[in-house]
Amino acid sequence: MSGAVGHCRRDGAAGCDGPVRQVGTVILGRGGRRSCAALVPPSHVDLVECPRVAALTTIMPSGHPHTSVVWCDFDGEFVRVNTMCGFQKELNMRRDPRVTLLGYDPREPLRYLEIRGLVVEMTRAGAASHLDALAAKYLGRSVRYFGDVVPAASAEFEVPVLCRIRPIRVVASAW
Amino acid sequence: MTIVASASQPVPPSHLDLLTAPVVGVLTTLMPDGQPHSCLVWVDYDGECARVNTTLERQSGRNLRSDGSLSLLVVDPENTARYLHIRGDAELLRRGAIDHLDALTRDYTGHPCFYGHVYPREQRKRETRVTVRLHAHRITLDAIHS
Repeated sequence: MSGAVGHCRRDGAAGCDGPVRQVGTVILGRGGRRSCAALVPPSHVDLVECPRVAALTTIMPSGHPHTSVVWCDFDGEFVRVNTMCGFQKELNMRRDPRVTLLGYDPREPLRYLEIRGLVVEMTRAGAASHLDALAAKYLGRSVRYFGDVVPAASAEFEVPVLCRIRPIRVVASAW
Repeated sequence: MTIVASASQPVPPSHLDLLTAPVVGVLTTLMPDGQPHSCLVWVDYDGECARVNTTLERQSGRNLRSDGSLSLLVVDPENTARYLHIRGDAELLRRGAIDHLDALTRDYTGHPCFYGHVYPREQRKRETRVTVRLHAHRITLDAIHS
């Protein structure tokens, strides 16, 4: 659906809004697609900060991609995803840190943000409070994940894991 | 809910509407270095397999030529807890790919055909259209919490 790549330049900041964290190739494509290394354009931050749909792809042991819908937010440097110990994507990320997140609103599918990245940290520290904060952002009110979103008893056998993803390649549509 | 499906098994009727209505999907392929690459695609269903359409020049088409592993996620726009996820392998078909693309174009945009309406007519000469049939190894439904 997006346009073909037009031309490439290697001058880093050209065509990008906001500060450039990491200089890389900028691709300006007809059809309005653009790609910047490791840069989330301010115009598309809403597609990584609690987007309506965030599709996280991890890699299965077979090598096949595995995509699931997740909650995520963005701290300005890392994409943060919360999952549970033992879930398929958690196991996959521990084995292979290469992931890709596509944020979009299926009601407005011409606009999307693809972030290819590496999982640089998976930790239980702060994961429960991050999960509560995420749930509050998505639901628009103060909630506890265990008790308000899923049954409180789930906390006895589910352990939240906070995953930080460092973007290495960002593609933002701009139709 | 998870269903292990052979290539010939159809998509569960409960979620077939996500393939037959004009709802965009997330197609994920693998870059040469193994990094997943995701993009939004138009989707339909041929009675046996979910199908998308791309070109051999695009990143997803180039990836599928060297590694047919893929996944497709289609989320209900009105209820994002409802979705269909297909994991499997691609079958690439050049024959009929333009007709398929035009059918998708009518479903998704109302235009009669792709080249000349969605993209410039002259673009057709510069790219090689393929229909991608998804042979499902595994189909997952609505599995938000897993």
